[in-house]
Amino acid sequence: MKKQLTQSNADDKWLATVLALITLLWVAYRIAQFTHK
Amino acid sequence: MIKFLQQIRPRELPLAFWAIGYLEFLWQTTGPMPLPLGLFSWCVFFPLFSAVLVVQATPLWKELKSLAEEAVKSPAYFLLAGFFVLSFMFAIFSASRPPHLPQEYDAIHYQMGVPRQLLARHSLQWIGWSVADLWPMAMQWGFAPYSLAFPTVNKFPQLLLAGGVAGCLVRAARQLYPNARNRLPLLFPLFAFFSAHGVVTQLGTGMMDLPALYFLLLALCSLLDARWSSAALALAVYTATKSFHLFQIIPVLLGGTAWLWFGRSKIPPKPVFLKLVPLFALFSLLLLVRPALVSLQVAGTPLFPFGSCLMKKGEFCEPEKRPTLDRSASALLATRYVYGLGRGPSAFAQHLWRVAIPTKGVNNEYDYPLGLPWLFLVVLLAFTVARGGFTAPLIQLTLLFWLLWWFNSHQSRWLYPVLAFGFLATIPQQLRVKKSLPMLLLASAILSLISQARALRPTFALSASEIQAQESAKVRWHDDETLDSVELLYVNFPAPNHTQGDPLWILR
Repeated sequence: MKKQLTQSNADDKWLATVLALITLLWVAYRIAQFTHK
Repeated sequence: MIKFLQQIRPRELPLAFWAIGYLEFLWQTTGPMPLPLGLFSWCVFFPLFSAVLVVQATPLWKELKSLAEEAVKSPAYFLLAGFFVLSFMFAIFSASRPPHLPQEYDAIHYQMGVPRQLLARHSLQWIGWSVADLWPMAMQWGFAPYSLAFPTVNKFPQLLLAGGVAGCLVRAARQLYPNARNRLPLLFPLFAFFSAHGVVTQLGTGMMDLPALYFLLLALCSLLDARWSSAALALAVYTATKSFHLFQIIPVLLGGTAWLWFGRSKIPPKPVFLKLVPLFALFSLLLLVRPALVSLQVAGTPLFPFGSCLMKKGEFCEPEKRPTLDRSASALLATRYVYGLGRGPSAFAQHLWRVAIPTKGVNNEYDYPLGLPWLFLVVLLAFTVARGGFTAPLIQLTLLFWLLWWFNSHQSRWLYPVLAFGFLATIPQQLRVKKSLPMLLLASAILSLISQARALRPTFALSASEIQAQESAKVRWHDDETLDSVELLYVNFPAPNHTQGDPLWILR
């Protein structure tokens, strides 16, 4: 499985989407905190 | 000689650094040493460090060059590497200054202050007022000769071992996944760990959590390389560095034994049981003997604040002194409840998010937020477990450290082993998103770098001697010739036995 993973060039859609969403949420939260100061 | 130098792994240099310092500390505190403090340690370590790097320069340079060539092709990794280097440059500047920041409270108060007092006394007898001197502090003892060698106190030992954490994260990723075609994604654990807000806030400061983590990671690397003595010593130093570390290492060793015994493992069980475990027991015994004896003599337990007066013969187990001891023990044990949101199911769900974000100024309920890397780790672990990766030994080790943290004090800095082992354990999932993951991490790396610069601002404004003078001026003598204990790192003579201070730290 490891070999297949390292040779695959496309990102796993589910995992990439969840990670992107959590990043957006975290960045939005930090910006909201910053602007409320 | 060259063969000997070739046998030392560069990642083991910080361990050698500690061992040399520890020997000098024992020498300085148990007999008359003819040399000024720190001269022996720096003069032995520096040539050793240089010689190992010179002898191994060619393979190290080749490795660095090929990684740099790969990094140039990936803008995200190139930028992450740039932020990492900048962060360490800030840290070098900070490490050259004496500890004085609010986030260095523990270092000033006891982690560096208590070894200084032992050195000022030239004795290993209990400092007759210090609660912290009852605890195992093997790592801190090994740092003291280096930190106190110059006119101003420095924090280079802490920084060198934080560098060791970086080296071990790179090395362990390569050892665990030797077949990876592209080596750049194997650097993700390094950049993710050093993008965590709490980690960069501590980098270059006097705090001891990153150095302690180095010993755990070195134990892992050495175990994977079948370097049993190095693994045993690293694990023993970690165990003898904080009272509660013993309660982490015992379950880890028991779990590891069961796994080797019943599971299918690449690590051969025979040398683990015949070499690693006996060596670990021997080193731990040597490192723990003094704190255990002193703690027994004063508090009637080998591991204060746990089990006060188990043996009735302790000095503070006498009826008139017992309330003082009990007050201190219960205050220390109560720190378990000071941080976090409790231990119920709702608190568990909340901590998955709240460990990552600041809620009280720059801090949060867990002391310092860990930032986006914590959220990444939670997601990566969840996907690993959901996809059947629960049986991987490193995943189980990560979850075990997390579980132990859950029942200990909820301070985010004690989640560092979870972060480090977790990022190493989830590399297969990271490889599934190897294009987007480093780009997402950039958001965290930029903010963490800004936070680090802001946190170190008071340090940048003053020279080392100005900070030393400012901190020394805080040492307060009272009219009755007693001393306040708070700034004893800056007292270069034995503090009197009637030293005053917070009852949490003072036994009188």
